Amino acid sequence: MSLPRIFLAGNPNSGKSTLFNALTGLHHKTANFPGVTVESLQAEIELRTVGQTILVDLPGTYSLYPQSQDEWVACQALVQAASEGLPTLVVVVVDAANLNRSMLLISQIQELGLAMQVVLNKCDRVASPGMKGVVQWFENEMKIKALVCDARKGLGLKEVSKAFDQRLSEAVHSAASNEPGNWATSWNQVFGQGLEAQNTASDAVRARHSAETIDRYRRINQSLKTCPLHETKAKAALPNGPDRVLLHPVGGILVFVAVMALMFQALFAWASYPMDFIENIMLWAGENLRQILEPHSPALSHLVTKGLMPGIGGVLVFVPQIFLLFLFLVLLEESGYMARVSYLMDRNLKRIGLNGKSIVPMLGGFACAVPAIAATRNIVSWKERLSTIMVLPLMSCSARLPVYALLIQFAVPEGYILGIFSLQGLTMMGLYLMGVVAAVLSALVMKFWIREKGPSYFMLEIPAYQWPVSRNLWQVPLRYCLNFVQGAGKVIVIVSLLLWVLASFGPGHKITETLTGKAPTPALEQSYAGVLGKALEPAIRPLGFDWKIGIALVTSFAAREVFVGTMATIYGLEGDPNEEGNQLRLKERMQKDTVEGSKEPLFNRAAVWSLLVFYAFALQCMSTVAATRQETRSWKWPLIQLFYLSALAYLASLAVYQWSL
Amino acid sequence: MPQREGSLDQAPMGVPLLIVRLDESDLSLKLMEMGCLPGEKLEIVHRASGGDPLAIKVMEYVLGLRSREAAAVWVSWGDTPLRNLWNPQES
Repeated sequence: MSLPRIFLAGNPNSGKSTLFNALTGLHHKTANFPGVTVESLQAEIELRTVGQTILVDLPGTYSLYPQSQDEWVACQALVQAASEGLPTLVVVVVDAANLNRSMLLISQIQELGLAMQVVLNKCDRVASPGMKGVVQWFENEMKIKALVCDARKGLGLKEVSKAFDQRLSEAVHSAASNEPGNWATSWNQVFGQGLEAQNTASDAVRARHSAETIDRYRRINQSLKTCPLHETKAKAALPNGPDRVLLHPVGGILVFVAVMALMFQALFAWASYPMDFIENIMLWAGENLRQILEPHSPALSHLVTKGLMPGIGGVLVFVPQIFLLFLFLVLLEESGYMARVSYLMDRNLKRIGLNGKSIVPMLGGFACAVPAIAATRNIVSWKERLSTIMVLPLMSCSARLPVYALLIQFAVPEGYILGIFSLQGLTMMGLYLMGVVAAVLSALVMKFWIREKGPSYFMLEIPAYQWPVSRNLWQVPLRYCLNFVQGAGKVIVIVSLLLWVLASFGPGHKITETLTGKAPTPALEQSYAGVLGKALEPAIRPLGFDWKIGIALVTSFAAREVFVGTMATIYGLEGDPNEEGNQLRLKERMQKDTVEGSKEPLFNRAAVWSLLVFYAFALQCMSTVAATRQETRSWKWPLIQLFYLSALAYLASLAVYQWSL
Repeated sequence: MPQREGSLDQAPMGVPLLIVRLDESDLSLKLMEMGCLPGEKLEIVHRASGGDPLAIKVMEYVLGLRSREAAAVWVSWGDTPLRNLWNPQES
């Protein structure tokens, strides 16, 4: 038997996701973007009488007539639930300061015939005594149970789960096979096949929906007359004074650039302390493991310390940066600044064929393109959404961070400008900026090249400023880190194991003999990996890369963060492990390597810049390809994306290397 | 100041406005769902340079929208008392 379900529905900014996070903690698997719920997230919670229950966080919507993909996901889930007959409770989360507007969605959901509960959220902003009257009003006038809570501060959560329990157990007992009502049937006729059908919906349908909306609001306003709303007059939220600066055409942009600069400074300078710490721990653990395993089984020791550990270390080491990045994104979102950036940038983004709403996925692209591609779903125009998806991988994601961090050390000396800005940090920012510029130019090309029609608009609620104090602040980044370690971890462990096999064995060497120690491990050059890299060398020689970098390019095709792990494996494998000085860190080993047949360092300035540019542009991420495929529902766009980004990376690298030689 | 009418993108800032009607377009349903209904009061609270986008206060919240979208909303303003179209008997 399937478990009873609770759907959290509501307007965007009503605090649904905050309530969801407060009720579930870290217990759900995937994570949505800060501020944008694109997938309906699920988690199991335990209620006192009903027991195991699935809690679903639906994307925010203003009505059950969807206009964008994320709204459609929410509406479809609710309408379908209405016809399934499973024990279901719909919880409408309402921003208590914005009751009027939420009533439209409430009145529509009411007609679905599902068990219902209203949660008046964000009650820190509403004088509380008056809320009792509103709760009473809901019960008497609307025949809906309501209650008050403040999910951000965690107030009233116990009452919330108790009410959920009560409503749901009533629903379980009265669960009869629901016949889809007239309303759900006509909804299915228009939207059942997805949003595309709606674009061709006849004017008659549109007029009917308009008339219905006007009529609903008329009835809502009529019944709201008896609601003691005036007694709950919202306490002034944080003053909007900062908008004078933050929304100023010049000042606003300057502040935005400053905020971004601070973010990258944090990512590069501040994150280095925990990163060094993790690196040292991994080194220490690897050495200890080697001492334990070596006497028993040299082959196993080799596999673990040279194959597995560098791979795992390469993943763990950039957890601090991912955490900081998401912390920043949550801060920007929770404070209400992100919506203002969207508003501020819409005019400029429109010019290059994007939308103000593209800014959230674009900033998110700095973290990871995969959820960012899904976060484009709230962009109504298909063309603007497609352009956003196409240029998103040019935003330097967190997987590039370790690659940049490792390589920048070879290209730029340590040092500070004005005593606070680290040179390497500024270089890092320059690389990000380069990605942004490339994204803008590519978007311009897409604007004239993509021929897709459809309405384009930008309507966005600009929420009041609030202090970002909720538990989202640590929960969202933490969940992303867990996701990342699990997801990327698997890929990296598999790739590094594969790489270890390819690098440890070679043609002409019997695997069994190498494993039992009868035959020596072949030099890297003679291994399968070496053969592969050598085959690639002619193509990448003009970019300044040798066969060892070629191996890294191949392995990091699936996921670019594998680069560092690959380097670690390659430079861990090469040379006699007993040789003195082999305990040197990766950086020092790479520094000592030279171009074959000369004294020129392999990682010389020109080659490193070329490599940096290559990693900034190339689409080396299977997950991104898969995400684009999923969101565009075709192979055409992911292939175009892969091709144009690869060409861009190759040509730009070629230009950089040849020019700086 | 006499009663005046015009589209929202041309209306003055910081003045109480009353929605008279919405143009028939693919936008009007969305606008209405967001609270821009005939008879509702609103006010322009911010205009970006060049007048696009603009931010309006409607139903106790702030909505940012493009001037093209605002053009679909026909509003009136002036010193005559605003007639509430929902409840004519009230005013």
